[in-house]
Amino acid sequence: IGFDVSDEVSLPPNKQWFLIDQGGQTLVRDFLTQYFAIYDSDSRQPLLEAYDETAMLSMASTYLTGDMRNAPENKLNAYISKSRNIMRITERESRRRYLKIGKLQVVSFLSDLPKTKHDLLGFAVDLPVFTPGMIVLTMNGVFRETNVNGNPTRAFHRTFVIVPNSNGGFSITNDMLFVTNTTREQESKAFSSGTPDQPIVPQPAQVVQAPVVPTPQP
Amino acid sequence: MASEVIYKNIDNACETAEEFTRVFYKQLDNSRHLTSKLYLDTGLLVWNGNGINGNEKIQKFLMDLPASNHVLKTLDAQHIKDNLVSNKLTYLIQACGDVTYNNDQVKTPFQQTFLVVAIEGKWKIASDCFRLQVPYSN
Repeated sequence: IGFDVSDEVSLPPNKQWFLIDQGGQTLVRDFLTQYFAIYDSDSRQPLLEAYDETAMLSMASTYLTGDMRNAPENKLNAYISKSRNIMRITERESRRRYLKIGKLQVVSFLSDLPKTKHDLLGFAVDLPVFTPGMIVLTMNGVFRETNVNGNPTRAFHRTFVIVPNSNGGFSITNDMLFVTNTTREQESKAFSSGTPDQPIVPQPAQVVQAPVVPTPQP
Repeated sequence: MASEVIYKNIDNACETAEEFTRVFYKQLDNSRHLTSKLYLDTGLLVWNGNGINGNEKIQKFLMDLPASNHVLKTLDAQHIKDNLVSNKLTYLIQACGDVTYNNDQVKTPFQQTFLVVAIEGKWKIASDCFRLQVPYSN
């Protein structure tokens, strides 16, 4: 005789985009389009203009658990050698060294990563903070390495903190990146919607009212 | 010296991330009825694109999820220069690993990013973005 417990795993359905404020939709789409157009080009140097003078960046990387794929293109050496995984990097000195500070260091770090083509249509995008003083934008997705044999696909998770700058535009102050292998399911669906130049926001993107935190009054 | 202040912020962000994630995943997996206390009253959870506002609703949402077990594999943290809440320290924490639900054998990779702020001597989650590593385009 058993117990009447369900062992079926049912999770709430996924949504591809979340925007705390519908007003952020154009800005987010334009930002992602412009940023990744440069990121995926021959030179990432023009990204210097996107970062704040004192911007910081760090990246963590790891293999998928139990992944038996052993082909050379599955190796993540280009990322893991630079990974700031503080579960493994425990000394303060090393943690400081692996954190890149200042836009020159940041863009130099990014320039040394493999060349890429991102699947913008496949991005999952979350905009949890959209206030006059700060924007926080998180995304999940896949990219292809374009200058490596076999053009392997990789999965990433990335967060930008973006603030208004004195020129009336925006600057990235924090960039935090995670890179791993794509799952077989991700690999089979990567770039399945073609490769347009900008992400398309599925309609309607989910909107929730009420700000995350009170916006400080000047 | 300015650089010493920066170093202190870097060190503290990492050490806070270690302590925070130890508490957070232990509660989420073992005493989930207490988890919403870790969020600001007006905190935001974005779970696989579903936005849930306020810690009461977050509590209800979390209680409805199947039992979980999270195993972290990577952790990273940065301090945020411009405070999210005026004059409150704010840290960005990225935690990645595997999650299993209902003691199932299937391990799904997940990535999660928190913004935590120091309010009256306690770290509170202002926002929490959780994503399973699955395809999102249709």
